[in-house]
Amino acid sequence: MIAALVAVAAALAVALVAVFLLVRGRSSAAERLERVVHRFAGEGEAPRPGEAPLDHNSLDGWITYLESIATTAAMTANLAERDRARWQLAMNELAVGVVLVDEDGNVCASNALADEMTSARDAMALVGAGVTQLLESAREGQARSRTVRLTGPPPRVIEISAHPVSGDSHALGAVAVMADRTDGVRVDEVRRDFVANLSHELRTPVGAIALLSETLAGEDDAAVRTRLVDRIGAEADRVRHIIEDLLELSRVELEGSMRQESVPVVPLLCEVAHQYSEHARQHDVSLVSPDAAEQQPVLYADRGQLLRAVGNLVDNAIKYSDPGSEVHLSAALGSQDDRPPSEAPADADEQAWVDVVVADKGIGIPADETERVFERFYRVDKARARATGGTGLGLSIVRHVVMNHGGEVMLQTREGVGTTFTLRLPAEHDKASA
Amino acid sequence: MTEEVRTEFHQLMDEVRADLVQMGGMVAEGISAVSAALLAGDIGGADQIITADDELDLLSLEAEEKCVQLLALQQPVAVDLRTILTDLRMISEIERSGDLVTNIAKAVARLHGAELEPRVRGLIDRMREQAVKLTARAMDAYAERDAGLASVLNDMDDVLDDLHNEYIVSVFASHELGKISIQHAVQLAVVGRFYERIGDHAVNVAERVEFLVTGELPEHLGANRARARREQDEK
Repeated sequence: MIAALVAVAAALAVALVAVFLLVRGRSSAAERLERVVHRFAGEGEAPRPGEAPLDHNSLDGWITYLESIATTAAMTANLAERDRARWQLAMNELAVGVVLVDEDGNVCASNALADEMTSARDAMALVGAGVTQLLESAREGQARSRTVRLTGPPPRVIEISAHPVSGDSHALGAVAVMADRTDGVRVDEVRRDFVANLSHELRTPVGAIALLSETLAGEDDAAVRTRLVDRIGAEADRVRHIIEDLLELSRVELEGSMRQESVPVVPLLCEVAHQYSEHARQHDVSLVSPDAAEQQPVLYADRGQLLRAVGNLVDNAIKYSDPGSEVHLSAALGSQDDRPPSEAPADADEQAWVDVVVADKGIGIPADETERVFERFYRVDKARARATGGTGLGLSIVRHVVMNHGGEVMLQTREGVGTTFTLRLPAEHDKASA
Repeated sequence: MTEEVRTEFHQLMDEVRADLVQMGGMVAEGISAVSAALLAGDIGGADQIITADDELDLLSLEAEEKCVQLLALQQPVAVDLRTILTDLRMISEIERSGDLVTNIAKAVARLHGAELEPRVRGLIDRMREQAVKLTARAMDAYAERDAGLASVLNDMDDVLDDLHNEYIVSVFASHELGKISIQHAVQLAVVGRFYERIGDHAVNVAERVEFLVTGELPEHLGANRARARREQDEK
């Protein structure tokens, strides 16, 4: 744009001089002037083929010629502007942040993600500061990279790298790229922990069985023998539970939700509450469920899987609640209107959903563990979890069931205040598209 | 001032501003990191945080030097002078917040072996959240020169104060139930106080921003009253 304006202004100035020269009738100067004007037009020294040669002696000729230059300049500027906008939009689509600076360190281009990362003033401000520092050394010709780890929650790992940008002989500036490596780092962590936890979960009871049976072989006292046999039975039960849960999990994973039917949610919640009433009584926890006669809302779902998912949540809620407290089960129909406009999905299929909620006033989950509790065999408090007899697979199963139904699990928790799990599932009228 | 000198002058002022935003980021990350170390009883992590404070000290000294250089060599006036004076005050506020993070880190070792109850842990997490929010919003107000945002900080700090009170009550309730020793309870109470003080420093930063933009400080009200009383006495 600026280039075009300069060109037009220069052309006008040239035109004035031209008038002056025409009046004086100095044609050799007019020829030199013509060459200058050509240079502004950026087209070598001669008129383009097909164009009438410039009539040096007529003012009209000069004006026409300058007009054509001005038009070309405006078009070029327009194309350049569109080109720039296209680049900017393409850069905004990148999954990494990009900042480009000139040789003096002034930012000449950056994409949306980079702007978001570098304008933060919380702990993310460290990313912005890192970018500034790396760009400075890159401008001096040294490529560098750095990994910024932020505690969160949620924890984040951002990798920044900066490189010099140089032309044939001299530096033109530097470019910095920032990439969010959080997911990659997390996946590695999950994989590592999974193997360690699995072997631990299976080895402990198997090792115990081996040890107990060895003791049993050398034991004559009948009372002790009975106790040892009971212990062996209990450990074998634990292994059986783990194997059952593992099979259940792989079944849920492989099958998807095969047998979908209309399921009124409230009666299902009451069934779960009934199933776990004895378990709740043992822990002195009361289960509060809605009126069983209520038929709305209705889900189109695999009843067995849903029963299992809600059951797992209720089981956890009971185990991690203090004696005397309540666990609330509820279901509610939600629609797009409840959501803030910014989160509203564009497509109409997602307009209605059912929230199945299990809320307890228990010990809660530490903030930095909330993302990990859905992992297989992940335990927040290793000692307590094993004492309560879980397999460490319950929430993995819940997550898979909900994924099979095209929903999502939401978790709100605070230590010492309680935990609320919400299963957000598409409402029944979606069955045509399901 | 010639054009070139002025540019250099503003460049240095921008550098100080960037330094301050970075310091704010370091404090925000420090609060998160020290809270994680505290809740996990991670003494090694806490030691790292104590070491990391040296970086903050270095950065604050560098920023201060830049301010002194600007004052001594350029004799700024009006808004430029006010900005540099604000920056100087802010450097010490943020640096102090960093020291409080260090203090919490030092308490981690003293709390070794204490079994924190879920309720106490939850409140630590909430104080962490609110302290980080206050620090980040104060830096927002500063970087954007947003006096409106600055006044919101006071209300946000009230939330942190309430959390702090609730926390103290639950720490001593936890002691009465025999869950933690009196030494650990006192140590925890002191830790709560550090969080609360971080919030106060964020409010101070915000008040400085208000002064920078409007030329007014909350203290001006009190000062005016004092002046009026003094005149009354002289009559």
